[in-house]
Amino acid sequence: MQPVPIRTSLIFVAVIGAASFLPQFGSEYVVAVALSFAMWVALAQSWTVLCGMTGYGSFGHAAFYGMGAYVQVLTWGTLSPWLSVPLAGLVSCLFALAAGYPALKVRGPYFVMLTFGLAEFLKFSIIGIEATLGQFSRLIIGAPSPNALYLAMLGLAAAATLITYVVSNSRFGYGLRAIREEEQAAETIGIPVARYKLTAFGLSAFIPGMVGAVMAMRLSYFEPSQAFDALISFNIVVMAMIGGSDDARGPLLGALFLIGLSELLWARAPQVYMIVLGALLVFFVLFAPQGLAKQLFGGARRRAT
Amino acid sequence: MTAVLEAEDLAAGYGDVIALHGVSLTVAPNSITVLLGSNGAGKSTFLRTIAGLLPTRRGHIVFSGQDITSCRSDQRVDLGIVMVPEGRLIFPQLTVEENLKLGAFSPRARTRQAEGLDQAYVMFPRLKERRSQMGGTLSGGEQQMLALARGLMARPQLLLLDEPTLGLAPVMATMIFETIKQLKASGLTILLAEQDVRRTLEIADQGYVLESGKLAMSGSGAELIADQRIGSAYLGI
Repeated sequence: MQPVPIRTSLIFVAVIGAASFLPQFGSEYVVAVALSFAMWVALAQSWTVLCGMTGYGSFGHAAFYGMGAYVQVLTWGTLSPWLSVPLAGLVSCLFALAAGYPALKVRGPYFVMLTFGLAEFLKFSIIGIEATLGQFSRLIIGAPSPNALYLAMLGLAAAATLITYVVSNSRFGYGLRAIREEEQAAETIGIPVARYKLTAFGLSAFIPGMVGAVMAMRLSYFEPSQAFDALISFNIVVMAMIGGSDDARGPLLGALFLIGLSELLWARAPQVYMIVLGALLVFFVLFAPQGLAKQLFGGARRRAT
Repeated sequence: MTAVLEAEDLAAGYGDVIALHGVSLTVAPNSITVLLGSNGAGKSTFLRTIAGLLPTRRGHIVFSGQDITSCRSDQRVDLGIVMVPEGRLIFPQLTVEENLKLGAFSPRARTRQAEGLDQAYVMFPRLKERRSQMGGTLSGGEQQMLALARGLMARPQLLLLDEPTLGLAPVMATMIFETIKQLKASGLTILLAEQDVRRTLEIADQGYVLESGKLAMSGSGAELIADQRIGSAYLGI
């Protein structure tokens, strides 16, 4: 673990500090966009801890988001909403550990399909449970103010960025990269491969669970097919891929790029948004597979352990 | 002297396929012990089971007097059992130096990482020249050197080498055999699985021949070279 560069930490603190004053002078619209940006940063950072570093691509992170949202509506009225948020993170994390134990035995496209399948399975299970209970969507009444929720989301984005940064520069992070590079060789040099993968999976589910719990309050209702929407997983993957990199820079760039693009296009030409998104993804995969981080920062190499 | 490694009635396999049917052998300290046999005889399976990459189905593994049958692979590395896998499995997108540093991942090896790196560069000057190059850009022989040097970074007491000369140019293979002899001279114990029977037996203190997952023959290197059955089956004489 190297000491955190002073410049980086100053920028980090300054940005978070400035962003926390946004509700004082920004319009409602600006705060809403900033909340959405913070949400995607938090989600993409969490994804990077598992997928960017180990190379195990998850197409099912919506499951963790949805679980978090579900925990929030289930405990609404019985638990303080701010207590439900960490609880939601914990439930998502435990679910990831249980699902990851068998799922992480397969890799490559099989793992991608498995995570996608698990998330869909969870979605339809919750839809089924809710239908049996006679609940087709649940309302949240008396949620905290949008400004408070924005600050909570900002905190989650900061925490997720910090986690990715710390992991990325740690011995654990280098172990994860070794797994991505060549799993069998990683095992022969004494990296506890199975434990590391599971830890990364659990870690990458924690923040998304909390994000889901905060978003349930922001949307003030819960509907399983929306909370577990596969488009959430898809967006996370696209942002992380466009951002590139296996450290904290990529997800920031990816989220900034995509939120900027979507704000530009949704207002002016909503019908072409998905088309442009698809074209961009093709472009990045073909011409800049290492993402924006690589393009901007060049081959700035990391140092090993 | 007690054996460094004792395998008792070891069985292992992949799914429903049993590749190793109860093999017992011992490895003496500071020796070169070799495993011979054709493809699929169980040499790799044996090494992988000793390294803890495959679960033991039956039998026991005793390392320096300690039963390690139920130890995880990372615990075995920390105890001093290090395997250099077949096929030069290096980390292709990391530099040569990063590859080497990752070799000292285990807690016991980590404190001596810098020292290990110096020793690796003395032993393999070629790797020093290429220290900031990506592992994947090295030639086959250089990758094998890197895999070997990375294994040494883990500070092994028992080094398991799985087919280190497979697919290498003859001059490179000679160099690898020389390195193995040097490693023995420096005090290491080596268990080596190889296809190149003649050259392997020339440096072997003890040899074991596997056939279809069972022990078929054993003896000192000299005894096995002289053995008629080895001559006709593996040396073509």
